Amino acid sequence: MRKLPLYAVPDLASPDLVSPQAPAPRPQRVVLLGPIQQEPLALQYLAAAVRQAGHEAHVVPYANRAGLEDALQATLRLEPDLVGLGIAFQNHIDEYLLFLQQLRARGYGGHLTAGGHVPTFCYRELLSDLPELDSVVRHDGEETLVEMLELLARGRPLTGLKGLVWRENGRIVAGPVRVAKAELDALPWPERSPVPYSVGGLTVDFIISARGCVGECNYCSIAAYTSEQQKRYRLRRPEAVAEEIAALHHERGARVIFIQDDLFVLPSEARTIERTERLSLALRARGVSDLVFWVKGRPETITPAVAQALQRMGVIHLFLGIESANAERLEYLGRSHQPADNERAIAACRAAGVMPSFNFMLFDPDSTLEDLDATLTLAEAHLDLSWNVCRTEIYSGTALRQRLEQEGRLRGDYRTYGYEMRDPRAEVLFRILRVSLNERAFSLDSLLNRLISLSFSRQLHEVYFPGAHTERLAARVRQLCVEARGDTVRAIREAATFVAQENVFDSNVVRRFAVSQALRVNAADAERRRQVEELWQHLQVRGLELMKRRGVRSFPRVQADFGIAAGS
Amino acid sequence: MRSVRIVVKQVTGSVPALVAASVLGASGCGSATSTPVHVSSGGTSSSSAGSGGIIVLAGSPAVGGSAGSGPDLPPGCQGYEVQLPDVGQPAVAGEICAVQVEPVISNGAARIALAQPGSDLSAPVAGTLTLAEGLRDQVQGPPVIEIVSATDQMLLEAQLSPLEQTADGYAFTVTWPKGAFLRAEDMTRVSFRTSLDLSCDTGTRLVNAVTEVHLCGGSFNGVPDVWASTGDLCVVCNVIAELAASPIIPDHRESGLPLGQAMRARIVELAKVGSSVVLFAENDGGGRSSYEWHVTGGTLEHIAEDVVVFRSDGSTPAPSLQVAIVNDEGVAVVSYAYPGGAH
Repeated sequence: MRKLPLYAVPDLASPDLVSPQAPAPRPQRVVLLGPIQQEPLALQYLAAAVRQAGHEAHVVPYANRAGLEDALQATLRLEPDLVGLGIAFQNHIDEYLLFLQQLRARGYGGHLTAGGHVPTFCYRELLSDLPELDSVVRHDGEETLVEMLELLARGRPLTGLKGLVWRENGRIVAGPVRVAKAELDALPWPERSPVPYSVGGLTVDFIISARGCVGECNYCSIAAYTSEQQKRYRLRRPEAVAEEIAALHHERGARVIFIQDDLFVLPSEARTIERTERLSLALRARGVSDLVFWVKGRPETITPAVAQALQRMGVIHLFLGIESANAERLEYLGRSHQPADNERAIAACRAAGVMPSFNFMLFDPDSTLEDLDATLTLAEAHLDLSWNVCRTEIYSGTALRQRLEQEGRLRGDYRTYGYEMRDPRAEVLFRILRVSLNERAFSLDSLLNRLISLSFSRQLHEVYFPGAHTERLAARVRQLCVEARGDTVRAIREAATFVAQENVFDSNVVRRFAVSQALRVNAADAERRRQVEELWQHLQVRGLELMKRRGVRSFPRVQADFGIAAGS
Repeated sequence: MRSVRIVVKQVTGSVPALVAASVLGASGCGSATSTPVHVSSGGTSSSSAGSGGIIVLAGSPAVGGSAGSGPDLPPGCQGYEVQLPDVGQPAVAGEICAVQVEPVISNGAARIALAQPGSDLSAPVAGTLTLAEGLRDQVQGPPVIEIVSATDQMLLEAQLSPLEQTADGYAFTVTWPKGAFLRAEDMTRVSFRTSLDLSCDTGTRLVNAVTEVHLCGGSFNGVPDVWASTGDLCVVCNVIAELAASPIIPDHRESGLPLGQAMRARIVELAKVGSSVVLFAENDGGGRSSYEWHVTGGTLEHIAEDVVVFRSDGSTPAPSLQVAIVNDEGVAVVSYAYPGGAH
């Protein structure tokens, strides 16, 4: 069985770490930065490829200004030859730009590059705006990054590579798109943090079993990203996935695996069932049985047979791409499912004992006030499940961005795109809710996001520690969830009635309503927040103790923040 | 720039107590009281206070300000000052041009940043002046940078090089030819004022933007020296305001619909003294915002519109307060939970 790699500075003289290709004349040192709320697998895959090629790689956490100083100091201390910034989302892009500028201002003279979804599509803007930035890596970066290091090691200019964008004589030059590596199992395993993640006291780990997605949602950049690199959806062999999971289970005591694929459930029912069965078989063959999974799927693919197959594999939680219960909105968003698929998928999951969770995109550029009702009704029917609400946001490379640009409705720039809805009542409703439900639903640390994490923690205790005490704790968690979500639906309906009946152009009236609703919502949540914190801590401590009694490996330190399971 | 001054009574063996809190105006350090001074019932506070026994000024004692036991203080008392960032007019051309009285204060219009200082302070330090993106095309001629105050006389004797234009503003160097005394534990501050002419339809407006630049680090926990400007977050100079960019929601000020500004706000703890917490409602709503404070399970005493002292009264398990910040463009409502709940 393969051993699981953990962070460590490699012995560069070790023959195991030398690339089968020509060894580099001087091993290069790389620092890769990005947010580390969960295990940063994208960065860790890059780091593993770098190390396999005989170089040195370090992953440094950086998400926002609060961590700027630490990230700068950690990076400068390592004196890297190359610094790479992973930018997957646009909402914190200014923070990344700030890091690059500060790093240069403090005298860093090595190569600065950026990669991920945002640089893949916005390379021209980034290189134009940021003289500090030397290059951009587009699409999957493992091979490009290693080739860059080979050139750096030989003191040659970083030009002419596939997948790379560089500067040449004052111009920005993009190399040919690098076709994605077909065989994901040929990539070295990503290396994990030596301090494991924990939810409810159980060690959780993260894995990728596929890259890409079959969907063509208008608001999502994954389809554009993967079609450019000519591999829409790539799967690892179940046996190879099982090998990695087994290492996580046996070496780190992992009992919960987040399968972080953009899509885990395949379009074909038969193939999904076959894949889950092969994975289960391969895990059993490696002595793994006491394990549960968190996966993602699309509503139209979740049949009763698929839900049952997932349950047999150990899946307890399925993040479902429901988005809306309105057929017109689903079509606008480029979804391939119908509202009836939502209900069928939820029912199939409930029947199989798999908990579904989802996000409701209440607003999009063309949504109207009337469009809300169907989605709110669906939300109201499932107050016991984990869900949150949001507005459809605009990302680079997406069809929706292009559409808004063509319509002359795209606001902002690549750092923060925005729009105003056609229906002024819907627009004002969103603006009210962004004030009144900010702390309840929209902020990263919102109550609903915390409840999503808490619900997953509760679910783990129900699976691993069934009994009267767990039932009492679970009942408290359920009650909190039902109350908070029920009140969320009420607040949205109340605000929707307000904008339907009042003059939405009257600033004073609208402001007054937003403030009074926010005060009421926040006041109601103060005690809920206290209880959520108390329960989260209690489940964490209880779980750690109970797993220790079972003889499962424990760690002196774990990472147990709410954010780990907020995507549940 | 305003600051909050708090006076704390410390008696060996008892919990420190907040005796007084006041907001000071821009003209001096501790001398210009511009808003009503509040004196609490103070004295010896209950020993049941939450994190009692600890005085925390936004991260560490005297962070970003000063501490001392001056002659104006009662016996056994210690005074602390914590600076509050002013926003002034939003750095939006239309907002600035609408103001008739010059100079127009808009601290977001321009921002100074300094590179890390070397061991020899008489060596030039690289500086950048970044103009707010929406104003760049309307700024006429190079701005003027001055040092208007500093924690040390030698720091005032800086020499600034001529400005060199860059893509987003200007670059310059600053030199302290006689060196400077950099005080440990984040007591060193330099206030830069940038004056620029902004072209408006009705003529030009003189705009002033003040950037507070603090020396963070130094002897504190072995963290290297670094100059941190207003808007940065320094691990030890937490008092310097940090407002992250609004995620994914740009402003719609030009729209005729209400709530066009996605106002960002948060409640910052300036100080914890016994059971009292001094709180500041930091926001980017500009200088014309009004503040409505609401409290549950505690008492509230106002020392400025945006600064309050909050005490839990022990009546609820989750004492909390909220502030609604309202102006013509937007609204933000943020809440704060009393640390550790009621005690």
